[in-house]
Amino acid sequence: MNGSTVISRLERLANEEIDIAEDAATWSPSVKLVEDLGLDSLKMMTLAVAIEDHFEIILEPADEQRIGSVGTVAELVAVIEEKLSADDGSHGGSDQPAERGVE
Amino acid sequence: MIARLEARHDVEPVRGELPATAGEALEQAGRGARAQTHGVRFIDRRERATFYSWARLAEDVEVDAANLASVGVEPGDRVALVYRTGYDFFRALFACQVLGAVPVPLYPPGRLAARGDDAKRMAVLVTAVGARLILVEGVMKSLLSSVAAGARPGLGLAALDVLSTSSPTGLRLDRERVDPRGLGLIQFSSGSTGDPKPVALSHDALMQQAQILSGFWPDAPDQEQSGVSWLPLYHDMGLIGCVWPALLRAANLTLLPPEYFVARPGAWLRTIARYGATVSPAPSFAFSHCVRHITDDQLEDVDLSRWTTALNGAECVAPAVIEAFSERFAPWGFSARAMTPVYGLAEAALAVTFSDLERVPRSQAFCGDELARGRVVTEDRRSTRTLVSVGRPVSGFAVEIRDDSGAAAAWGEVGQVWARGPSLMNGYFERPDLDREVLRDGWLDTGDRGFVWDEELWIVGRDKDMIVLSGANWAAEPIEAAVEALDFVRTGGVAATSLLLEDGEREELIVLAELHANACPDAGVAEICRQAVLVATGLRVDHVRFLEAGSLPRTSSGKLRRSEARELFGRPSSAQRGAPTASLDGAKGVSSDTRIDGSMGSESS
Repeated sequence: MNGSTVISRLERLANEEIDIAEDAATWSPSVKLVEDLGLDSLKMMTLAVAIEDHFEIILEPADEQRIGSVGTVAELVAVIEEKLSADDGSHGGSDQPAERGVE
Repeated sequence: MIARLEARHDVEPVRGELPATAGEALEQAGRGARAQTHGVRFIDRRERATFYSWARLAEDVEVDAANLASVGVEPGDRVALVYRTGYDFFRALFACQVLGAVPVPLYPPGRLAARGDDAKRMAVLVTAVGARLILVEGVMKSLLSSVAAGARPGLGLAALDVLSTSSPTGLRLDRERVDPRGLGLIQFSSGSTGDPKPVALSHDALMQQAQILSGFWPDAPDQEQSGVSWLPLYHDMGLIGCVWPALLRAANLTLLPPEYFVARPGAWLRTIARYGATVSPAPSFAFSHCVRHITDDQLEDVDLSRWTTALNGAECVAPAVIEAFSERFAPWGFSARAMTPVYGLAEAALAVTFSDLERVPRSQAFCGDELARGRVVTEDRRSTRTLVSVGRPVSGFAVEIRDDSGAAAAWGEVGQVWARGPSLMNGYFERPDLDREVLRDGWLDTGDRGFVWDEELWIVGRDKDMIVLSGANWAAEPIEAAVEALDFVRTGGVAATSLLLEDGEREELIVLAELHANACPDAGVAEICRQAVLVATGLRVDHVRFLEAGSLPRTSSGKLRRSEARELFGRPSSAQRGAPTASLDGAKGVSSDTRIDGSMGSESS
């Protein structure tokens, strides 16, 4: 999937999930999440969870720390998606059996 | 008559022998009748559960503790823990405690956040406690290498799993050697500012607090108590308030990651319903978050009627939020009586007062002007301020209101809230200078302002954040609430403070506000803010300053650091130095070049 498609999906997702000012910057790779879109830490959390749900991926903490702009998020999502499809379509490492252990 | 409240006697701690240390408590839970059937359950983002019994935890911790010992961790060593909500946090926490080392939970880095100051801040905390080791989740190891480089803990940075030795059981742990009076946990005070305050708690204080808390929810034949929490585990209400009573009773505790609550608040209520939880705590903002964001379709088949104790604390309890939540979720079985305003602080381990469990929260309108002058008057004269009672001291605790000189205040007077009880901190870790400010003859200065009225405690605001105007003291909260209620202001994005400006003759009232991106930080907007404060409190704001989103200084748990905000106001930002700035002061002229700039925002002064 190319970068611009990911960006438009991200933009749609963000608008569905969090309140973003209508006149906030138009989404493009250089737009910054905090400075330009005004996302606070709670909105960042919400967006992170929404991205994981929507794209069925897991964002690792170390990767997330490199994120600052829409472009870096899109790149990360694209890289993880590609890796997953190479791993014959399984969805990330999150799918553990429910109720593991002694219940 | 002295304004003092003694402990309530209607709720007594659970009888039976209290374990002396956290390690003993875990051993008890791991061997008791509920060892295999009860434990900790973690909910993932798809709301699937992973369960670990107390027996399993006790077993794993035994190995982890031996591993820690084998790499050189000794009793008394501080070990910083950087974990998200999950099983590994529990292993790391208890492994330290079983060994007699002192766990220091720190908050993990934020999500999607490329914040350079995260590492710096963490290094300051690690240094403040002289940690010998930083234990982290494996996936965060690379992320934290700069923290380790900055703080240089003697034993470095490690993940639990890589510590495993070939024959860990060869190392016998000697629980008897762990001194109950020794430190069992260091938690950073939520009220911490630029100067972090490491609250040092003994094993004994932890066990006493656990016993107090678990006394509030004894099991009944038709009701087995269990907890659900999304609160961060580095937070006193999340860790001590949830984990400790569950451990002591070997009850079930179900945990959600904090971020999952923020993004999907409905998951909190669904989890409470699914597991029939009776107890679940949260700060006021969380209840408001639910009212704002949960839709009916997210609550299919949800029944909240077993949720008998919705503890509401850790920040000022807002009466309107309580009402809105109770009304909104009544159709799903939520009882208004379940809402339980409480008061506590990290320095007391946690709980100091609880309101009655079986009662609808009690609110009362007081005269705001008189409260500001230190008098408790209920008749509404010029301004009304509605407060919520936080109840009476928990078992073994006493609360006293004192004036500025430290003398006991009389009934009907507002003053500093002091607390005494069996779970007070030993002190701030190696900070006798701070101890002298707050600990006196077994009493703790909570730093909060309040009064005793009708046999209950009422909190007015943070003492240290007190706004002083023309000799009258004001709490920042009602001023902030008035501005925050405006729809162009970001939720939680307001700080009110007062400052004696250079050449000033009196302290002036300052409001710092973060606006939504689509709001224009101009004179008109500033005037609306002023008007709102005036209507709500009768106070005229001297300066309104608009800030860039997210720039108000906060503690790790998101509380506003007003004293720091105050300092920032006093310091002109680089953009302002030598440049003419827009003025939004009082009735003075209005300029159109007000702007929001990067560092600390544009000025309106």
